[in-house]
Formats: sequence, C-alpha cells, structure tokens
Amino acid sequence: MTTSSDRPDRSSEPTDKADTAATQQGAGHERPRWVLVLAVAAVLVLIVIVLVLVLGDGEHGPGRHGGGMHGGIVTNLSSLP
Amino acid sequence: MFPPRVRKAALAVHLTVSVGWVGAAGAYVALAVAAARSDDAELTRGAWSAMELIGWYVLVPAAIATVFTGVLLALGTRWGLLRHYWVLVSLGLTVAATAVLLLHMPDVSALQARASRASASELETLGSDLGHSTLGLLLLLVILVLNVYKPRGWTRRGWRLQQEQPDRDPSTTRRA
Repeated sequence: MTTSSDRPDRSSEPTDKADTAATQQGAGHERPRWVLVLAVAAVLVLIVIVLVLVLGDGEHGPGRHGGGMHGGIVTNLSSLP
Repeated sequence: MFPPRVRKAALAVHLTVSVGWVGAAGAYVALAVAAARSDDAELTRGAWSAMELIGWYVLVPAAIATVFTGVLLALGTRWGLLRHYWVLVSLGLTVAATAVLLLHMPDVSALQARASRASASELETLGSDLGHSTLGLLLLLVILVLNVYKPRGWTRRGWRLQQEQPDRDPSTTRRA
C-alpha cells in the first residue's frame, strides 16, 4: 500500500492493470452478461420473497408491529405483565 | 476531480463506513440467531436490545455514510457515477439496502419493546429477524464483490462521454 503522499494515489482510480483490462474488455456500450445474470438473480429472489409473503401470514412491511420506533402501541400487549 | 490527498481521504472514509457496515451486519445476524434460537429469556431480551442499538447507532449511520461517500467518490474520480455498470449497480443496490434498513428499523424497535416486557413463553412467539438480516448481509457481500472486481461494462452514457472526451477514459488515462 502506498503511504507516501508524494506518490500518485491510484487507489480509487481505475488505473491499475486489472481495472484497465476490465474496462478495455468492456469496449462498447452493450450491456454485459454479468448485469443480465445479476438481474435474473434479483428477479428470482424477489419472486421467492413474494411467494413467502403470499403463502405466509401476509403480515409484512413497515409498521407491521404497531407504530414503529415512536409508536409505542404493540400488538398482544394485553397478555403482558 | 479530487486532488490526490482529498481522494485518498474520501476513499479511507468510504472504506471505513462500508466495510464497517458489513461487519456490523454480521454481528447483527449473530444476534438475530441468538434471539431466534436461544431458550434463555434474558439472552433473547439482551439480543433484541443489542440488535436495536446496533441497528440505529451503527447500521443506519454506516449505511447513510456509505451512500454519501460512495456518490462523492464516484463524482470526484474518473469512474463517474453513471459511466460504468458496476458503479451504477452498486449505487442502486446500496440505496435499496439503505431504504429497506430505514423502513425496517422501526419494526426492530417495536419488537425490542415487546421482547423487553414479554414473558419467557411469549418470547418464543415473538418471531425473528433472521430473514431481513441474512438477506441484507448477502446483498452487502454482493456489493462488496462488485466493488472489488469492478466487472467490465460501459453504460450508454459512459460510452458516449468516453467517445466525446477520450482523455477522460479512466482505463487509458494515467495521472502524472
């Protein structure tokens, strides 16, 4: 790791060999395959989540536990001491 | 473009908060497992309290800081914000993870409040936070891998800008 402040800092710049190769291989603006793979994986995960919600108890989402951080009203409190 | 010292400082902050977010998410998963699986009522209550504290005072600040410093770093370097698919996808996933976290944390607080007052038998029906935390951690790891490997791919906008201003091509331009 470069520690001298006089030396060029390339740690956050796409200037090393790996980054150069990565971007040069991607010449052209066509959508790369990894983006498609990631999108398909995301859709599959979303489908699984929706199925779990539909087949589950259906209770989900913000505030499902009764008002959130400052609400103070939570369900089933009547049985609590 | 940021001068080298500013860029290095911004990168240091971004790495700190983003990797810290991943670490805290791992700790949160461990607590979620304890809260879901333990038969010890005190341990379960303690785990929920720790999850709420980590959530509000580590996860949320780290998530917001990660989005902020990531955008700053992208705009201040030759990578740009909308020029490469890996930057664009990372930004989208990070913003999505932050939004879900912010929407979910009030529920964690409510569950923690219930856990703190529930009897041992009621704690068993409290449910768990394993799903959110595990999916969240996996998402952060995907983002981390994207940022390390920087897979190839110009966006349409990035390609057009590169054609118009070839001197700004991050893959071929080296600073003196």
